[in-house]
Amino acid sequence: MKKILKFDKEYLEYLASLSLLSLTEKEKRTLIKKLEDTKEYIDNINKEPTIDVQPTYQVGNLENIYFKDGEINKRQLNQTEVFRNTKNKFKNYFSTKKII
Amino acid sequence: MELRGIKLIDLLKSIEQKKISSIEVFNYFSNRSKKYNKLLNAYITILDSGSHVPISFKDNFLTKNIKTTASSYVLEQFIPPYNSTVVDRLIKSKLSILGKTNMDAWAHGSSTETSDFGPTKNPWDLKRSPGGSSGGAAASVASYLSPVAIGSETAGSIRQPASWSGVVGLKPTYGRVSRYGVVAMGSSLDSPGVLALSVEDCAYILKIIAGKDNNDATTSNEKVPDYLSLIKNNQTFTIGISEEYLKDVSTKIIENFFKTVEVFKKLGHNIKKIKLMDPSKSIAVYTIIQRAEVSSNLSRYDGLRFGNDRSFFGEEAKRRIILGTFTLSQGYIDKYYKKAQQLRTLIINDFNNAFKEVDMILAPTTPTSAFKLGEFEKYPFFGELMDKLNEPSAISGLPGISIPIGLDKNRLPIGMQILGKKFAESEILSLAYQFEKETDYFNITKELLKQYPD
Repeated sequence: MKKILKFDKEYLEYLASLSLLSLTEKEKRTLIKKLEDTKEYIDNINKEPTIDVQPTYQVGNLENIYFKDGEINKRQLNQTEVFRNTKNKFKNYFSTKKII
Repeated sequence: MELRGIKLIDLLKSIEQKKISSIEVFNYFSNRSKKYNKLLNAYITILDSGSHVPISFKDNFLTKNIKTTASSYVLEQFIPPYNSTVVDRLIKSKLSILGKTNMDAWAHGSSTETSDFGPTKNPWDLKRSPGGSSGGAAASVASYLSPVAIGSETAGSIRQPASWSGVVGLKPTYGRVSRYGVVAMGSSLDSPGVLALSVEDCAYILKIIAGKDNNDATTSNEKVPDYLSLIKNNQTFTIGISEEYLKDVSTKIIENFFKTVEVFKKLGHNIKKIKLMDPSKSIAVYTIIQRAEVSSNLSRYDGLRFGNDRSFFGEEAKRRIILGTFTLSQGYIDKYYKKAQQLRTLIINDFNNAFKEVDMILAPTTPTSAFKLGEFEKYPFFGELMDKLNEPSAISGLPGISIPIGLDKNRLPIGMQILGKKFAESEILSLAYQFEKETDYFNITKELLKQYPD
C-alpha cells in the first residue's frame, strides 16, 4: 500500500477502481480538490485524545436473529419478481460480463 | 367541508363520523398534489387512486409495484418486489400511499438539489431550498399536498427540512423504527421518521411504525407506548440549554429561540444551563462514519439484478463512495474509521452526563433559515454545516423533534429542536405538544396555505 499524503490523480484513479467507478477527466479535477479539502477537515479528529476509549460501532444492543429450521421464509421472491428489474437475463440466470 | 390544513387525526375522525368519505379525502390530496407539483417538484410519483387517507413516502422507502428511485438515475426504473416495513404497517392501519417524494439522491445532501430529478422548491419562497434530504416530504406537508409525510434521517434529514419548511419533524431513536426496505445510506445512523403539521399526528404515526421487526435486527424490543395519550399528561420537565449550540447561529433564530424558552418557563418547566461538547467536533466524526457506510452500502448497485450500472451515479455519490473507500482502506482504517468510532463513544458519554442533570435539551435546529437554491455549491461542507446541530444526537442514536418557532424577516420559517434520552419519544413529543397548544406555532401554516388554494 502506497503511503500518500495528497489525493493526486493516480491515487484517485486507484480508489475509483476499488469502488468500481469510472470518472471523467473533469470529474477527476473537481474530485481531487474536493477530496483534498475533505481530508484536511477530517484530519482534525486526530487532534482529539482517545486513549483507552472503546469504539462504538453501533448504538443499539444488537442480538443475532436466526432463521429456524422449517420456518416459512416469508421474504422469498418468486422468479418473476426476482427477474423483473434486470436487463441482463439469460434463461433463468442473471448474466454478467466474463469475469476471468 | 373545508379540508385545507386539517390534521390527520381530525381527518380520520371526520371519516369515522361520516362527514366525508376516505376516497374523497384521497382524491382531495391527489388532486392538490398534481396541481402544485409542477411548481414545487415535491413528488417523483403521484398515485391516481387509493381508498384510504393518503400519506406521502420519501422515495427511499420501497413500495411494492410502485417505482422507487431514491432520486437517483441508478434506480430510475426500479419497481420493488416488496414493501418496506414502515409502508406495510401504515397500509395495514388503513392509510394509503399518495406518492413518493423527492429527496437528495441517496439522501446525500441537505437541500434536495442533488436529486437527479431536479430540486424541490420551498413552498415559502420558490427560489429557496426546502432543506433536505427529506425536502420533498417537508414541502408536501408544508403546502398541504399530503397531511403527513414519511421521511428518513441519517443526521438532520428530517429535522433540517422540517425547520426550513415550517413543519414538525420527528427523528425517532435509532432502532425504534425498522429500516427494512429503506434504501440504506448510513446503516448505523438511518432512522425513519415523520413530518407533519402537528405533534399529535407525529405521535399517531409513530405508534404505528415503531417497534420490533424481525426483518431488521437493529430494531429494539423496547415497548411501544401510546404516545398520543402520553403527550397529554402535562408533565413538567427540567430542560437543558447549552451555549455550545448557540454559537454561529443567526441573531433572529437566537431571538426566537429565547422567546420560546420564555414560553416553556411560563408553562412551569425548569430551565438549566448545561455544558455540551462543541457540535462542530461532530462534523468530522459524522463525515467519516457516514462516508464509510455509504461506500459499503452503495457497493450493491452493480446493475445486474436491478437498476442501472455504476456509471449512473451522480457526482455527490461518487465523491462519498470514494472518500469512504479511502477511510476504510488498509493503512487508514484505524486513523479515520476506528478513531471516529472512539470519538462517537465520547459524544455519547457527553450526552449521558448531560442527561444526569436534565430530562431533555433545547437547541436551534439549524444555524440559518432556508438558503437560496444554488448556494450549496459554494460551500464544500454545506450539508454538514447545515446539519451541525443535528449530528451529535444522530451519531448517538438519540431522538429529536423540530418544531416551528416563528418566521424571520424574509418570512422564512425558523425551527427549534428538542433532544431526548434514548426511547424518550413520549417526553419530547409531550414538551413539543405543550408548546403547540400554547402557541399553535403562531399560525404560520394557515398563513402559508392562503397561497395554496384548493
